Formats: sequence, C-alpha cells, structure tokens
Amino acid sequence: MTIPAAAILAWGLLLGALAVVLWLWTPDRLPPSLISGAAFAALLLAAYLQLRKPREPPVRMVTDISVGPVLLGLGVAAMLNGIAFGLWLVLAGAGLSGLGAIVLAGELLAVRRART
Amino acid sequence: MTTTAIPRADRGPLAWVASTDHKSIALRLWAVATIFLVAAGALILLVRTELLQPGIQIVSQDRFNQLFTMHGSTMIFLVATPAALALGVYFVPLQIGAADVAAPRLALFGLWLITSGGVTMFMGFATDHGAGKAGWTGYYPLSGAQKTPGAGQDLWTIGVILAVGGAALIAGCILVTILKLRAPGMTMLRIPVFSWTMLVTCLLAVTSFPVLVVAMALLLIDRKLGGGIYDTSAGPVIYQYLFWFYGHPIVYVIFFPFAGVIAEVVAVFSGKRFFGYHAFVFALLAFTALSGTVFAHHMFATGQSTNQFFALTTSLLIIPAGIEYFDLMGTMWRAKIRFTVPMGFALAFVLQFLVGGLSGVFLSAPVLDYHVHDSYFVVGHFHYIAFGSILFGLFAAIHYWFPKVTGTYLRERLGWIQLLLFVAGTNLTFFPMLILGYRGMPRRVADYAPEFQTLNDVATAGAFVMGIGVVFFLVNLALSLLRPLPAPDDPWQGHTLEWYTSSPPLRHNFTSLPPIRSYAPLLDLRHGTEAEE
Repeated sequence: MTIPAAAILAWGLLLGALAVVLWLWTPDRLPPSLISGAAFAALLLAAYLQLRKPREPPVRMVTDISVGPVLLGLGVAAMLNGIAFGLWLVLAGAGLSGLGAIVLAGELLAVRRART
Repeated sequence: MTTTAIPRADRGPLAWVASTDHKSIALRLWAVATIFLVAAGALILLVRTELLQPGIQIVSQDRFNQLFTMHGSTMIFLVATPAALALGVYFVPLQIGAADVAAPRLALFGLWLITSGGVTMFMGFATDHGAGKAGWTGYYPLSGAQKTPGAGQDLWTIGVILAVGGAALIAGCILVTILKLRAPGMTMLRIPVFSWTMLVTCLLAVTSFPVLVVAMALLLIDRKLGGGIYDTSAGPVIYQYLFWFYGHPIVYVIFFPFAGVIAEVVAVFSGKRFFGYHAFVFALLAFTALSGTVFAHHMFATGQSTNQFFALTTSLLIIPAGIEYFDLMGTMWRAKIRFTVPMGFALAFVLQFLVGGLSGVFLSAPVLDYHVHDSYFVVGHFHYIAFGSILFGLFAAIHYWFPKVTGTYLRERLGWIQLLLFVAGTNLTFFPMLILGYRGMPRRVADYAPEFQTLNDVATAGAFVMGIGVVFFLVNLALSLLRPLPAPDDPWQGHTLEWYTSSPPLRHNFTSLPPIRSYAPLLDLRHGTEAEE
C-alpha cells in the first residue's frame, strides 16, 4: 500500500472507529452520520490514492493570467447576492458567470490544442 | 543559492486580479485577510469601548449585536481561515518541491469567492436593519426571518456560504498538491512538518466545510422561502449539530497550520532537526480524527447531545496535544537558541496556547461547562486559543517568511515592540474574561452589573494595547517595503526547500532541487544526513 493512501486510510479508520462508538452510544442519528460521512469520504480518497495507476504527470500548462475564474467567482457571488437584492442581480450574475465559463472553456481548448 | 535571473510573472493590474501563480494567489489572500483584520479590529475596539462602563453609552443594543457578530464572523471566515490557507498556498508547493499548486484556477476561483463573501457580509451595514446580528454562530431561531428580519442577516448568510465554499475549494487544491505534486524523493514521511499540518488541515476542511455551506443554504431557504426546515421542534438542535460539525474543526483548521509554522521556527532557531517527527505526524493524524468528533461539546448545555461521548473525545485531545508540546520542547532542549522575533512569537505562542488549553479542560467536562457556559469564560478561553494560535503563529510566520516572500527583512526592533505589546495586550484582555465568566458575566451583552466594571476596563485597555501593536506592525511593514533591508535567499539557515530558491521565488519556484533524504533537506545538505532524532 502506498504511504499517502495509508495515511488517509489510517485517518479514515480512526474516524470510522469513533463513529461506530458513537452509533452504539447514542440514539441520535445525525451526529454519528456526520462523522461516518467524513470517515467514508476519507476511505474513498484512500481507495482512489491506492487504486489509481501510477503514471508520469502530464506537462502542466496553465496560463499565467486567467480571467475566467475571476468572472465566474464574481458571477456566482452576484447571483447569490441576488437572493437579497432581486432578480436583476441574479440575471446579471448569471451573465457574468456565463462569460466566465466561455473564457475558461476557450483557455482550456487552447491548452488542449497546444498539447496536440 | 543565488538568485537566478528568470523573468517573473507579469505584475500588471490584471495579474493582481487574475494571476494563477500560487504565490500571487496567496499574497492576495493575505491582502484580503489583512484588510478584514483591520476591519475586525476596529469593530471590536468599538465593542470594548462600549463595555468600559455599565449601561449603554456609544452604540445601541442592536448595533452592539451587529458589531460583535461581524467581529467574530470576520475573524473566523475572512481573516483566520484565509490567512491559514494562504500560508499553505504559498509555502506548501515550495516545501515539497512543486512548481505550482494543483488546480490554480480553482484556487483563484476560491479566492474571489472569499473576497466576494467578505464584501457581501459587510454590505449588511448599509441596509435598513444593519448587518448580521445573530452571532458568528447564527443560531436558529435567532437567525431566522422572524427574530432577525432584514437583508443584513440574509447577506451575512450568503457571505458565509461564499467564504466557506471558497475556502473549501482552496483547501482541496492544497490537499491534492501534497498528495500528487511532490518532488522526486519527497515521500510522505519526508514532508516538512508545516506541510503535514496543512495536509491534515485540508482534510478537515474538505470534510467539514461543505456541511456548513449546506446548513447556511438551508437557513437561507428558511429565511427567504419559509422552507420550515429548521422550524420544527428538533430544528434548532439540528442546526447546531450541522454548524458545530464545521464550527469545531475550524478551530483546528486555524490552529494546525500555525502550529506547523511554530514547529518550523522552533527547529530552525534551535539549530536542530525537529524532534520526534514521526510521533508528531501520527499525533497530528490522531488529533485530526479526534477533532472531527468533538463538535457537540459546544452543545453540552442543550441536554440534547451525548455528553459522555463528546466529553471523552474532547479529553482525549490532550494526548496528541501533549505529544506535540513534547516535540516542541524536545527540539529546544539543550539547543543554542537564537532569540529572533519569529522565535519570540513562537515562544509566546507556546505559552499563550497553554493557558488556552488548560482553560479548555473546564469546558471539556460537562459539569464544569454548565457553570461557565455562555459566559465570558468561553470568550476568554476561545481567544487564548484563537488569538494565541492564529495571531502569534501568523506573526511568527510573517516575520519568519517575510524575507523569502519579499527579499527583505522586517525591522527587528519594531517586531520586538509589537511582540511585547501583543503579549501584554493578550493577557490584559483575555485573562480578566476568564475571571468575569467564572463570576457569572454572560457573553454578548452590551450592559452588565457594576461589580464587573474594573475587570472590563482592564480588558478594554488590553484590547487597545493590542491595537497599538497592530499599528507597530503596519508601520514595520510599510518601512520595510519602502526602505528595504535586503535579505539573502536563506537568511535563517532554514531546513526546508523554500530556502533553496531565490527570494522572492521564481515563477515556477525552482531551477534545481537538492537531494531529498529527510524532512530537513537543507540541513542534510549542510551537515549530511543524520540519524533522525
């Protein structure tokens, strides 16, 4: 077993053991469910780390400046703010997010073209 | 270890907004955290000024509620968490020999979510009913539309969703960086201590932060659509469970990275390999698992939680915490310690955090917790923990890594003055709170019984002393940037890879790496690989 997987597995198992103790201890369902969920997430991550095939990491190509995530971030924030300020801001935020997604998609396509 | 002339990323205005360089993202996160730190400091000085005398003097009860709510929320969501994550975004790739952080665009997206979240929360002050005022915990039904109407509380809820969501994304990026982008030779048990603390921090963040996002989304649905999700007999307790599943781990999310910084600082300025590395790593994993299972100790007084279990897990925390303390002491044992400003902050961290930890023993036992629940004792304990770890750790980190980030030193004398003011201010402010709480003064009140005035005055004086300390830091920062004292690439004789590259580091961090044979590769380079510990 790889050490990264073992480390996460150890953490997940300890969390899982504590969840089992709490399941036995309490009639409540929510607190042990929350801990079990965290343990399950850790076990999934450990399984992924163990089972993924080792391969040479691809050459990473990321632009130095990327406007897409900024527009997306501001767009999502505007949409959520629209819940307090009204539909107009939700629509403006959606437009900004859409623009951000298009810019990001263009960047990713350019990276793919450069690779091939 | 000289600087190689390789062009750095573009530094124009667009780069400031949209650069994907992990160092630039981290610096912007720090900038955001610093701005909100100043704002949160201003808010709490108003609160403490109001508390100089019993009765209502300078702000109304309603405004007082907004001030302490926004102070707590700002410190947790917009200062401590971003500052801790920024340390990871900047230094984890450098420490593990990576060229960049994983998924830098996602980290950039997270940065803008956090920034927008902060602005959203503060916009509440401009609304008719004022900003959020249900405490940083936003307990239901107090945070519901009936008890706290108005857009300010809506904006607070939205701001929390944005800031916590953004932080979770950044934590995910750091986690993947550590798991997947380590340099050849950098095995898991050679990862520097700070990066280990970031790993467990991010594990906690990615498993607990989404729960709060969901809890807040449900609260928003309740407020805006009358969903009735929490409006049942069990609803308020369900909200508390969901909140504290985030709310307790966040204490560790903002503690572990700074504990990691302190471990690095103590090892470097003791001139020794970090003592008990493997024990520290295993203690961290145990600490992390336990800290995810203690969350309902905040709910002892509700009578709805399984108190014995949560008291047990809380008490067990003392074991990994003790191991970590022991490792720190072991590192300093018989060492030729260099008393620099970062080391001063590190020692202060150790002492202040000890007071916080010992006062926490009261709160881990339900019978004692009942006595001091919802009192100033809790505020004092929490601030010894949070202030003792976050700010002392943060300033240790700033003074330690400033030469790496900027290529210049911070002024030593101003740093010592700031440290002394912080130590004095911390104890003047928070120790009286422990006494006040023990004697029965409730938290979150604008008015109080006259017999509590003297201790409140001392606490207020302490808060202003800390405020002066922050001014000294800002002056130090400005002076050091405007009239720089150039620093070499490795001014402290560091142990880890970030000191191998130029100051500030190149766009992709390294042109070459030394052999990595332990968690202190530069120490190995200087002295040869030694048997660990």
